[in-house]
Amino acid sequence: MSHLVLESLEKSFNGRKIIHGVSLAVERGELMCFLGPSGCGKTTILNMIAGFHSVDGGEIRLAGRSIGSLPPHKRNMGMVFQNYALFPHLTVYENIAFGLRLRRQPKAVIEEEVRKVLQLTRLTGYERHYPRQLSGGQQQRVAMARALVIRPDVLLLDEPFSNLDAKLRQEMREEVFEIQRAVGITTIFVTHDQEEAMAISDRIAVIHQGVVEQLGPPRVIYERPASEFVATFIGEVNAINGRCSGRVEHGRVRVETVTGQVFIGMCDSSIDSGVDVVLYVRPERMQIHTPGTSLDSTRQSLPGRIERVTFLGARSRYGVRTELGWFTVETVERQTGLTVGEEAVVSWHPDQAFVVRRRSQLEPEREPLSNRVVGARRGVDVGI
Amino acid sequence: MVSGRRVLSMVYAVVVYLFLLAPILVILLSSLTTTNYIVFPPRGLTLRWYGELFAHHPEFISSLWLSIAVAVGTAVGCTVFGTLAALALHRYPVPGKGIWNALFASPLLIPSVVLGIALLQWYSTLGIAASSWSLIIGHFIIAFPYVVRLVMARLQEFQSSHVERAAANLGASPVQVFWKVTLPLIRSGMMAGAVFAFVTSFDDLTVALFVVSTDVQTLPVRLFNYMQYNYDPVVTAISSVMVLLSLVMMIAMERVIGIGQAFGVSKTHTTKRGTVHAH
Amino acid sequence: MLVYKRTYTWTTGGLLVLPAILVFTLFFVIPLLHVLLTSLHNYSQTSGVGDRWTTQNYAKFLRDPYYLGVLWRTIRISLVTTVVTLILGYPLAMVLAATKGRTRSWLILFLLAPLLVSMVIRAYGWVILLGTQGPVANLFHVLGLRTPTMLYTEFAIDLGMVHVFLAYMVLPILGSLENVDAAIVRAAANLGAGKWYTFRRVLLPLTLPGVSAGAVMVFSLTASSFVTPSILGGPRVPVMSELAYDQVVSVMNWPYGSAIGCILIVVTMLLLLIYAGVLRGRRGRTEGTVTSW
Repeated sequence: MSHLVLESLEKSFNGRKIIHGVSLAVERGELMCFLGPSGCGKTTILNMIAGFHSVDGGEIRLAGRSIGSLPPHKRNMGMVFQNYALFPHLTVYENIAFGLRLRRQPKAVIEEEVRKVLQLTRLTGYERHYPRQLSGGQQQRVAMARALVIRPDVLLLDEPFSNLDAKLRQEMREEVFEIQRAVGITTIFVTHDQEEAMAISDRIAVIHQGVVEQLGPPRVIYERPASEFVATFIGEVNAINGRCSGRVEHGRVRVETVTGQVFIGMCDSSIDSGVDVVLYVRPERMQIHTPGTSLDSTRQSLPGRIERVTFLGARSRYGVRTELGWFTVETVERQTGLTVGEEAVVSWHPDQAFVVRRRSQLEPEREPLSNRVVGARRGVDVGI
Repeated sequence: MVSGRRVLSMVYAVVVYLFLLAPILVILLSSLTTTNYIVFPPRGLTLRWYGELFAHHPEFISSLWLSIAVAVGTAVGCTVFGTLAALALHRYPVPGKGIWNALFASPLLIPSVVLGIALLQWYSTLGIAASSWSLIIGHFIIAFPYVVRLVMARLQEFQSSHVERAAANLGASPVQVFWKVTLPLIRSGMMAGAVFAFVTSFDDLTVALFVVSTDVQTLPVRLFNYMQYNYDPVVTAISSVMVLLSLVMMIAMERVIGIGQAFGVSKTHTTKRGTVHAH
Repeated sequence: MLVYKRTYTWTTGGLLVLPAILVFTLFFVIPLLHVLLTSLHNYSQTSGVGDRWTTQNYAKFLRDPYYLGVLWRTIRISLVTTVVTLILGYPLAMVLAATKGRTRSWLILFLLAPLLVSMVIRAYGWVILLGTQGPVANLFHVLGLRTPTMLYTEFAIDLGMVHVFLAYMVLPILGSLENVDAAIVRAAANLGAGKWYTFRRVLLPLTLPGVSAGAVMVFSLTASSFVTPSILGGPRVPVMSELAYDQVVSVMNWPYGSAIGCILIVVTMLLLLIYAGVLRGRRGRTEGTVTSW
């Protein structure tokens, strides 16, 4: 039985529906991430689990027991807030002991428990400090310690690293991950940072406009996005618009473009012929060649002209204009011998292309600049 | 050049501060004169007028005690009811919130003289005689806006930090949240409000003028009436006593909350992360 | 929004705020309405407030040049005080904003400390300073100049008011100065703006909220002041609140005193509304320029 179950959860504010029937199950000891852009409803769902928002429809079950109508202080969920929400009038020790005192633990037990959790979060020696005397990373650890010490059934983390600088964020991420593994606690982690989500989650729930767009392990989310939103939100993609013109074996479909070209891509959902679709290929799954290079017969290709080359150290990025739009190719090869202005061919294997149903009719013109910016922001470590 | 500007601005500040402190220093110094009339600079040095004050003017001393009693009553009443009102208006779905907010702020817009006239007429209509209670009610009205605003500001300040949610999350019931988190966090606002209420009441002449009787007179009223007909250093002596009392208030305020904080000014430029405060 | 539905009910909230509402209704709202009603009654030699409804009190005020003169003096003193505190206070706020650490703490402490001293006493200090035997008069005497009358003049009132309300102007300006990003001022200098130009085109517009908050506060506090003008001006140069006081306490003409009080409230509110309107107009204009730019 799953540890925490959300069943068709619904929430409205001022008559506007924010959460549209969210259902998912978190396993015991699992670290699940709610990933989505700001305003997608991920924090609202977290607040419903913690009990800060009432449940308008559906159910929340913890170990089989419905908890949707319990007040927050009876749910036993440890939460780490985005701004930590440490009690400014209490010392580190008193902050951490707060929950234990409410549980009427004997003094000796409190001391022992606090000592252990301070050790776990590497805060020993800071007992008498006040929150404002601590650095951001230390405050973060106090918040974590305070949430963990009450031995909550579920640990909830609401964008816990968003107030830290980039380097510290990465360190804290590793630390939280290790603590979570060490304690083995069921954890829900809310973030808008896909890299963060990829790095530590067992599974990711991609949330968009109040619904779960896709739920799965990071690798699946990255390699087999289930929707246009997931594909474009996570990582970087090259897109080819077209229409489905039939299935082929091994879960593949044929995609016909307006120019009459036919491409093949992987497709997990059932799509009928005639449906508008997009075929996506990740830049690092593409290759670039000089025209006339003989390609493996299984590969698909498109000719174009190189308009931009960016050297990124370990990798190089090529911006190629083709008749189907702008393509970005990322390669680790150093000597392709190709430069700006030259004709080139981009190619990929159909197994690396994935096809999803097209929702938005308005595909924006893919311009080199915007493409580059998007790429930089959404760039993802491929080595996961 | 830069230091020249700096010197210039400091000189300017010193001149303005002299202007601000001048009348108070004049009062303090001229209370020490040996002459029978007020003169500045004082001639000679004596504490004679203080002796005179305590020996022959018991009405000043009793007025001082009345003023203190009324100010304490005002401070306590305003702080208790002001805090409750601020809490209610800040987080409970009270109907007519806007109206109550405006009502509690409006004494700031009503001249004290008009409030005095209003209370005079109303008390005489109801047949309420002058007493410390009738004074406290008048001062309650004029001090209330400050208390509500100061407590409200504190509530607002920490509400966005979600500490109350954090406490609930850790297992505190709403009542426990109030006693363990809300109250300690708004305490500084309440204390600032209490000090403000005390000072407002202690300083008030205008409203009190309309409420007092010949027997029940606060110190400012007594002083105001006395100085209309007398020009002897007893006035400066009792005034100096009041200044010294204010000084004690000021030191207390600075110790407890920091006078700048009470008036909404940050003491140091950056009180953010990293600054270590004594607690 | 919160789930604490059972605790955060409007009945609990109502109970918390009810005592204050009761006190305010009983000792603020009703008495003020009572004043308004009194001002609409005739004066009776025997009972004070007559039983006839009339607008005579208001007509009396508006027809008599003496009373209108008092109103105009009150407004004039408020305007002078507002302008002078602004001129003195802005540079002081700049000095305060520029200092740090201990010096700053002391400067703020001494700016606020006089506020804790009773206004009666502060005004009396000026009486000593400006009196015919006071140090200022002596100075004139030593220099062989004719000593001008200073005490019990409008000048004395202006001086006392500036003294009392200077801090009320400095604090909001200081607050908005601290919100101005230092980089913006540096950016202006970097773009070649001189000190004066930077002040006029960058700093002043950015601190305008503080300036107008201070101005509103000083203006309305001055207009309704009683203590300082009655001690430093005396009966020779009365202001509105003294007039109301005299009518109610000395003459015992409650209806007329009430009417003067009501006129004072209406006039100050009207002036503040006009002021707010001017500010809004200004803001509209600046926004317009920005967009057309």
